[in-house]
Amino acid sequence: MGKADQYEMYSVEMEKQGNGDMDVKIKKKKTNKAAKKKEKLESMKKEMDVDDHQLSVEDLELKYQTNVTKGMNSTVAGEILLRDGPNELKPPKGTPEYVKFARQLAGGLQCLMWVAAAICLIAFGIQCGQGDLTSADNLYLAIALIAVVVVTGCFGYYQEFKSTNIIASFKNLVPQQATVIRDGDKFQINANQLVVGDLVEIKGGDRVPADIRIITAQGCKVDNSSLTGESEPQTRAPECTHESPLETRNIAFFSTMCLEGTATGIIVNTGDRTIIGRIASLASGVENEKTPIAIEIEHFVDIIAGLAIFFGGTFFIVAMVIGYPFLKAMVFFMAIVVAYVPEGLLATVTVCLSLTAKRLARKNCVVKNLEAVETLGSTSVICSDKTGTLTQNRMTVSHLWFDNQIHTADTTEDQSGQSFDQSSETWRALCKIVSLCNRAFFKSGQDNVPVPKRIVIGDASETALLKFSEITLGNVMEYRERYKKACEIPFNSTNKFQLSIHELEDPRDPRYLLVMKGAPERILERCATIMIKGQELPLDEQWKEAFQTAYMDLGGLGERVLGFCHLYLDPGQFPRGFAFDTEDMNFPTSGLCFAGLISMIDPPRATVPDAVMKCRTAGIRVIMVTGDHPITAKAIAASVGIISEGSETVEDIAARMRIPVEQVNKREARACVVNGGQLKDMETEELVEILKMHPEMVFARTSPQQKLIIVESCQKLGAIVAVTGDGVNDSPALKKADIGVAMGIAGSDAAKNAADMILLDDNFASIVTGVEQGRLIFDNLKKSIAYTLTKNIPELTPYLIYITVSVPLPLGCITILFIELCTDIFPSVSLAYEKAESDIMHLKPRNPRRDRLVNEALAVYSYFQIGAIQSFAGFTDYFTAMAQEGWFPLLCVGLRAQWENDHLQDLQDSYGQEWTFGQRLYQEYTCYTVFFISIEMCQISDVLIRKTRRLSVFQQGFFRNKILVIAIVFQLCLGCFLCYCPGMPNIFNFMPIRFQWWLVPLPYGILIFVYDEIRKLGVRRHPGSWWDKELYY
Amino acid sequence: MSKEEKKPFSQTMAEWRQFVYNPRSGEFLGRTAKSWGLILLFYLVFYGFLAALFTFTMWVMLQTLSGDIPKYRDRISSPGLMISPKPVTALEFYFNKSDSKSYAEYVSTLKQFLKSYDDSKQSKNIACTAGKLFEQNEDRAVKQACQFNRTKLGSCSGVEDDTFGYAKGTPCVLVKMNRIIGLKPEGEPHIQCSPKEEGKVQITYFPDGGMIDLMYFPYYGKKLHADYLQPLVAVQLAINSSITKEDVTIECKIMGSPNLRNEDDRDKFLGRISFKVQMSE
Repeated sequence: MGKADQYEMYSVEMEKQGNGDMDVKIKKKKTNKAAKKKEKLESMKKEMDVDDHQLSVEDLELKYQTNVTKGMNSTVAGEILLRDGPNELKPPKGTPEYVKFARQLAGGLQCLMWVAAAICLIAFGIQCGQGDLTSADNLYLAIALIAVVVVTGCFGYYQEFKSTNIIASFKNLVPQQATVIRDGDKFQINANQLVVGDLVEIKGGDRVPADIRIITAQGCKVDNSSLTGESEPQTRAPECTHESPLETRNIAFFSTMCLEGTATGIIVNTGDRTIIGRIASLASGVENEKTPIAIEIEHFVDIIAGLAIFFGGTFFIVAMVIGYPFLKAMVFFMAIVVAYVPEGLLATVTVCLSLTAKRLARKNCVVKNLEAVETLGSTSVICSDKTGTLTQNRMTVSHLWFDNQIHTADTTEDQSGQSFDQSSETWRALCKIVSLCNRAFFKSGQDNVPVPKRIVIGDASETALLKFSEITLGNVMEYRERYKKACEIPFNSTNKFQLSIHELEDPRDPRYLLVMKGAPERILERCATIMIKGQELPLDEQWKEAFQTAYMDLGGLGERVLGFCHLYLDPGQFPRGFAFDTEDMNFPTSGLCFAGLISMIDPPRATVPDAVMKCRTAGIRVIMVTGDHPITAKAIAASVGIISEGSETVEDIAARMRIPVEQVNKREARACVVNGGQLKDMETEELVEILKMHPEMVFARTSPQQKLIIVESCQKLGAIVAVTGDGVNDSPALKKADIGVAMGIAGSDAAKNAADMILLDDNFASIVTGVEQGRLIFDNLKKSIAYTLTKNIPELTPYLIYITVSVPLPLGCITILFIELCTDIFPSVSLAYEKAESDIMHLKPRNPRRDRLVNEALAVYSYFQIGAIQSFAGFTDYFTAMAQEGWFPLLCVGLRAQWENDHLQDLQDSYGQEWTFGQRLYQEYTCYTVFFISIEMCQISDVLIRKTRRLSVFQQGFFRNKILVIAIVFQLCLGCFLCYCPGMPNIFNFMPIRFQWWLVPLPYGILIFVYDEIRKLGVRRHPGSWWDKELYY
Repeated sequence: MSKEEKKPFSQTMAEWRQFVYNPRSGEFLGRTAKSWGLILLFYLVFYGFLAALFTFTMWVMLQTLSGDIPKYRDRISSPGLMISPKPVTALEFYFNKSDSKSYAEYVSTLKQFLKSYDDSKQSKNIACTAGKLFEQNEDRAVKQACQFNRTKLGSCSGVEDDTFGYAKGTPCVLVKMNRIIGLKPEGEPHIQCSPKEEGKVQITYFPDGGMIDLMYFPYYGKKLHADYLQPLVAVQLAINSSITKEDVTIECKIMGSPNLRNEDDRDKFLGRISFKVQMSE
């Protein structure tokens, strides 16, 4: 209880900070929890209103009662700690295990079965009450129903058990120790003891212990990629650079990594009130959407329940009219309702889904929720994160500009692409600069690792350059040793360049080489000459313009561009052993020779463009949603095909036609790049409108809340949305999506937990496999369900005939259970292995409102046509078995009362023979068995016809689905076993029957096959005709 | 949250009404009249065909059957036993020997049952050789039946005592064996009854020793063997007057024939029968 109280207290605190109104706060507490939660969520979806980054240091000190040099007073800190609670993410009030288990028992089909079981028990009770103790069938049925639900429930629970709690992983993000300054002294304390206002120090390699307003910083860079999706390290400095707290430089976020440099700062938010804490609670506050397959199953249960009640009601009335007593008619009613429940379906669906899940797992897609297997198949929109999902999440050199020409470098993951012309002298010079003016180095002991995979110590762009030169030049480490470094100035944000001075390789050459790299415009300022084809030419206006063009071009590709230059120092002025001073810069830093530009990008994964293309052919819209900059986002979108060739944004059209943006007809623009700032001011309707207008969308600079809004807007359009992502920032959207897909390698734990599916190889292309499998399983489930439903009718009609015509019961309850749960399970599951009938990846995603899993055509065709034929087969066999044993069909009619009278031990058959009750009972069991075999024989034909819905079975291939063939053989063997195993008559009411009774239903089996082939032929030949509309399911 | 909003009840009703009859499109239950016509016609043809096929296969199957003897007798290898008179509910006799109404029904049942054994009705039947199976020629269209004289039942025949001993406290019960076509008992079948508790009742059999004569077998079916009379064994119970008002359970079994089973676990009437008698004064 203590915990709950604390929770309440904190939430009060939070609201107090928000609006400072006590009355409102207390009122809110009284409103019901659901409303409150929703409200909280709504407020979170709006941008966070942190303004600490805009305050001056003095205001900050005042606000948080702290001091930027001495830190807080320990006692005050203690009080605040008491008030705010520890600086850690509170685990969500997790769903108790029993609730999770109970949820497994409460699905649509499960509820149907519970109701059926209850009805059975009631019917059993009524029978007992009437003193009819002969048959415990209803009891067995109830037990079997409950057993099926519980067993499949356990199965589902076990699947879910593997997935872990969502915020549990956020815990791991909390830093263990933090350096804090209190009362002017430095302490190492547990990070969870930190409070708002504390002055903390961070350095490279630390995790940021809370949301921090930076006070001082020295070359501090943080990796925000898991929070914002930016792949580049972000500089942190004391200046406020942006009004948005997420973009400003002077706030470092809780749980992000400090890559290099040091900083001190004041904590402005702790625990759940940090940005990441809010995202965490945002993710846990988002309810999971019902999966499409769950919706389909509910729809299907509605159909079943409706039909069951219709049938039951009809025959209840019939029974009353015939003159049965009310109670008896009631029992009939219940029995019919129960007979209509497809007991085996739950197991079939579960097994089919888990089979596909396994198949997907082999292709590196792990599915956490079984039902999600199908969701990808019905997906119509994929909202994909950029960094790490579409891209490799590592900077790579992509272009070079030298000799007044742009060269393309190989950016593929495995270096299989083409290289450029490396014969030029300029290239050699440039390469030298790249190798030498670089502080990054390989971690030792990686000689056998391919270069792209080696671990590098250094920042992202230096790493990219190092790997680039290692690949093109060879052993860079050794190369650097040959050119001894005399001095260096590392990169800093004021100079915006980095330089180093090296001795030359040739000991006879006494010159020093100065190499420099940095922001291109800064480098150009310092150059007097430019190297073209090895020649140093004066850097005139013409060359400057060429440089500008190249710089703009590369920048326009969304790439980060660096300029490189060098200078051989005059040996007279700088002899060997000259003491270079980096403070005074006693060496020239201007009049250098410009060598070239190199641009870097986080390149798309090799498989992505193809996968995006496949998604398009499959009618799936791919939307990029990223936290990165619009230009980069657009460039990547264009290179992977999210913005297809020839598509233009409004801005592109404006630029091409040289008219202002406002004058462009927005409908002409296929593509659209929206950035977070614009999105913030947009109404939801506006966003929906934009999504409708432009088929190719890129969202850049989006916050986690905005991702959520984008997903919701897509869902409002009726789309089934898949979201892929890897960062913490993606987790709310992952959860909100119909199916969240997280990256297995790069993905944060939070993302993985929020997701329904995990791509183990981080390969976007695996999604295409997922879509294919999802569509296939939808088709195949349809077939399985059609197969399973069909036999409901031949199971039901014996009972109806029994009631109305009063023949001895042709098919018993236990026998039905054997059909449902034993012999027919394997064949229905084997349909899950059926290959697709057509190229499903060229079809549009199904329309969730129109293309149902179970539609009326399927139910009607299965029930009233195939099911009817099967019933006739069963009755033919039944009457044959009866007649051949001495009971002619006409005698059977109306025989029920005498037949079931256990005092009548000498009932005469058609030949005058007298039967005891026991003998009649065995004859009845014979009938059950015969009827059972008839259904089995027809079901073999049924499983063959269900292989296809449109194609002829001959086109699909009889034996291509090996599992199905095995299933049929298995079914036959099981049938034989049940019939001929000794002891069966008294245990399960199966009798050894004569061989020819196996053959009686054969003509009907053939009829089913032929009829269905005719149906398919009609459907293929006359699409859109009456035949197609009525008979295609 | 895009949770489904609950539709107001009136809207649901309106939708239903729309579904039942839509005046705009003229749809009734989701189909137009023409559409209904077509689909009903389709099903008429479909079920018509199925029914025809069913009738045809039934007819073919019935053609293969003989009207005289059943194709198989898989379930009736051994006959059951039954008694007459048979109380309506369970096999329990309750009567007061001094109250004729209490046993009137038993008596009338017995009389009715034995009518077909009247000598007048047996004129066509022949006297067969006792102790031997009476097998008849295949080509005989009508099989002959052996005579079974009521007199064989002695004091239970109802000839001398038309209350079958009920008035005297010595009730008669007839035990008969179920007819099964072609059944040929082996050995010397006879009925043997015994009370559950020794000494409560004395049992007299008619014919002597409860013998069932082999000459009444085999049976050729009701069509060929219309006059057949199955052999009966009468059991007369002399209930000890000291134990009136107590139940007496009697079990009768067919004995002395190896191919007539009498000890099936599940079928309590296969070659045996048990009944209760309670007599009061």
